[in-house]
Amino acid sequence: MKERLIDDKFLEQLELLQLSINDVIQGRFGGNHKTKNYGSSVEFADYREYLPGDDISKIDWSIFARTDNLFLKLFLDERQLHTRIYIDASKSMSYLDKDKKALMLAAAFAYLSIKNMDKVSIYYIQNNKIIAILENIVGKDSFLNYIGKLNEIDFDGTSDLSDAIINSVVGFGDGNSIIISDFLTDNNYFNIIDHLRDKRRDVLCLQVLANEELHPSYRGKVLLYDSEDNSSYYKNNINKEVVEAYNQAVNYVQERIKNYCEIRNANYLLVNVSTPLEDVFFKDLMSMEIVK
Amino acid sequence: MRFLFPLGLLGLIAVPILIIIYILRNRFKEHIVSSSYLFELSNRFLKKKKRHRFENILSLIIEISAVIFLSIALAHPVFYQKNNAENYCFILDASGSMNIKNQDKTRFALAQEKMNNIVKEAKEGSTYTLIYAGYETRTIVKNLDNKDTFYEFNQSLKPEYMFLTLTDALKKADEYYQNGDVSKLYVFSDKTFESIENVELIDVSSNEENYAIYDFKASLSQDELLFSGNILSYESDTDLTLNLYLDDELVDTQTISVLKEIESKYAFHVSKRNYQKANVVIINEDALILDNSNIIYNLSNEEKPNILLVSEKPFYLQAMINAIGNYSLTIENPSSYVKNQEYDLFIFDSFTPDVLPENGSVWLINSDQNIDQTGFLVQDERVAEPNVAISYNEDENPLYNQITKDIKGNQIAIYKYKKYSLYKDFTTIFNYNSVPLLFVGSTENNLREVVFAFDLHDTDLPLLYDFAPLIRNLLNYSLPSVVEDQNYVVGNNLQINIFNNYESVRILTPSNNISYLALTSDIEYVPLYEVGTYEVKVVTKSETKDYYVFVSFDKEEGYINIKEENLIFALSSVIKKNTSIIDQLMPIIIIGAIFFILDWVVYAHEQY
Repeated sequence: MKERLIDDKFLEQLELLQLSINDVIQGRFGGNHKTKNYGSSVEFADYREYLPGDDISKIDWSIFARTDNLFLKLFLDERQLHTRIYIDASKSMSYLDKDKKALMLAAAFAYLSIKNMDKVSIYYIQNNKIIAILENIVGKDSFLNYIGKLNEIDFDGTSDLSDAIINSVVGFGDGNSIIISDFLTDNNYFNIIDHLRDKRRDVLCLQVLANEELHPSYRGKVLLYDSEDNSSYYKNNINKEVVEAYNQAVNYVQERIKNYCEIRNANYLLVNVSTPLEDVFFKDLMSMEIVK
Repeated sequence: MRFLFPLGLLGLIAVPILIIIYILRNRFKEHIVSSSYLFELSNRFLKKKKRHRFENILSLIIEISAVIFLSIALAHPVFYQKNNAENYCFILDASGSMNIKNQDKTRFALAQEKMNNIVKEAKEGSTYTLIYAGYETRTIVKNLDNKDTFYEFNQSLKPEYMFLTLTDALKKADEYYQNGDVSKLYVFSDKTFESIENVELIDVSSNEENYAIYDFKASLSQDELLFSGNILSYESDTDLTLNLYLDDELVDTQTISVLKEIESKYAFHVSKRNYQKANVVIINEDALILDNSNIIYNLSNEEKPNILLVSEKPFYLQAMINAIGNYSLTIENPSSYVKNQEYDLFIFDSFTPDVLPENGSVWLINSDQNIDQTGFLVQDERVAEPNVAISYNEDENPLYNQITKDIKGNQIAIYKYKKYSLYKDFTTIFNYNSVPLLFVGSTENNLREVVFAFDLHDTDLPLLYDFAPLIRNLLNYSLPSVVEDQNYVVGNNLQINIFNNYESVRILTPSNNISYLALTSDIEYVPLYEVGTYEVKVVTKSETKDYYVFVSFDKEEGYINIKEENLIFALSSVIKKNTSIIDQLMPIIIIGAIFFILDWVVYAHEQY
């Protein structure tokens, strides 16, 4: 990654968190998630560092003897989930640092999943295509090796989230689907929520908006061209009445997606670009019990 | 309309600049935004989809209006309206009664205040003429067009103390009116007029209580002093309490019941004593304090003049001089008369000395020989026609008035007289067939001289009432004191006798104004315009002496409601009015300010 989006301190804090999963776990591989079905496999899968509270019977003492570090031995009888993160890579996301915020969120959620021994895939959606930038990543080493690929995403063009996600493999009952977008479109993203929920995925919609979009500073006569479509523009004298109407529109857009998420037992969070990532995770997402 | 500062209109350049700025500012500024979605969506929530065209330029209209009003205000517009401003003329009554106070403000001050109010309300472009009806009628300002200057002149005026009429002032105003210098006339007075035409009377009178004391006299009898005079209540029947002070010491008090407008007498009997100043005061409070006290300064303390009467038959004169008193009289028989004696007055009765005395005044009665330096020559003795009486001349000469003061003018019967030929200026008191019988003047040595061209025994004059005042007046003339009288009323002239040894005579008025007499004649007259004590300081080579006289308020002015003659003011054929000037900058500034505030409100409403 060109910039160090997530620092060590933040990662240390993330170590304490884990993604909550609500739906029935259907993953075939063991992770840190208890399943309702007991498995019989005892096949070794991986190591991970010991954290206070872990079952000490699973500590690999031979490694401790060699390295003086505590590691847990993980076995495949613990179900492994697959966290799928979808990034809206349209042109509109390249403005006002929304792209940076989206990548940071994606990286943070990916790390959270990796830490929980889950599998992570990160996709970006451009026009009506879904492109996997990281796929089926397991383990921290892999995460750290590949996470830099997020920088390769070029935010441009449009994005048809609905077409792209519905036509892709989304899994079934095996973890979280996280959609990161500004959702500034009338495209029917309700279909996505419906589709993912039908596939018994936990869904989290993160609407990333800049402060300027929430509270625009434009006044007077302006001609505003849409970054994704030059033929689309807005021409008006922005005064107090228009600003009031704009605020209502912002509320409307938020409420629309939020209400639908509630109906479909999905989660929704508005992320202001100016809000520090720590606050997003340790205040907003924790209060929503999306992370614990 | 005219602009006082036309350069202020340069501010109007801001109008096209504003329009240009408006046009430039109202061009749509192009921006690329991440998504126009929210803005387009906001159209659904707009309460008013389309603004009226007027609303779009409302701000511009307000701004232009504000700039226009500001520019006009800077240019200071003045509007003119022909024949709309008056030429005011004010007559201000400055008579003594205008000193009367009502609620701590004199009538005069009230009149000044009301006059200022009229000027304040007058349209710009009006002119103001102020005629002061005082002892002298003066035009203080004429067709003045500056209000502030008028106020200053008005405030500098003070009322006088005497009875005055407005006749001269009205004549003066009429003259201005006929010339077209005046279009509106106001009279400020406390007098009431039976009828008024073409004049607006501003009455400043009110029915305040007023008392007065006057005619204060002092006389000396065998063993007591008598102080007497009159008191008057102008508005009501009342009891007045009087205090008598001698040299500022209270010596007696008495209360007298007086009837409205009826003079009452008062008298204080005090045991004989020396005093310099006697003061009688009404202690009841009233509206005019000026007429509530009288003062007499005792002049009888002066050294008694010496008189030598040379006569074989001195009876009449001896009796009269002694009766008048206060003189040291020596009688000599003509046969024993020697010259070079020291007397203040030599009376030669039917005796003619060889030469005139070098010092002292002289009376020559029935002289039958010529003496040098007398100013007349003896011609012959004549017998008057029987049953023909002589009477006094009528002369406006002050000296004549002094000699004939208090004289009733009894006709005098005469048997014989002498015809004198006068070669100097004399004042003739009476004559017979153009022959002067009694004349006064001065010798060539500048000694005061009285000449009787007859023997007192050849007339009935010594038997007449007039003889006493005549002899008294002649003695006063011949033995002049510095000031002759003690009782003066404002408006009188103070007579001051000038002696050869005087170096200066200074007059100090009650209001502390100082003046010096010219000393060019034997008698100087000082007009008394103020109520109170005048000080006369006489400086000779050997000494400095102060004399005091008290001047009392004019009794006539104590009447609160005086009915004047009809006040009729003829309409002029040429009434000229002025072009009024409307100079109201403040409303323009206020309107401009309102537009500025409005602009800010509209801006704030649109932007926030």
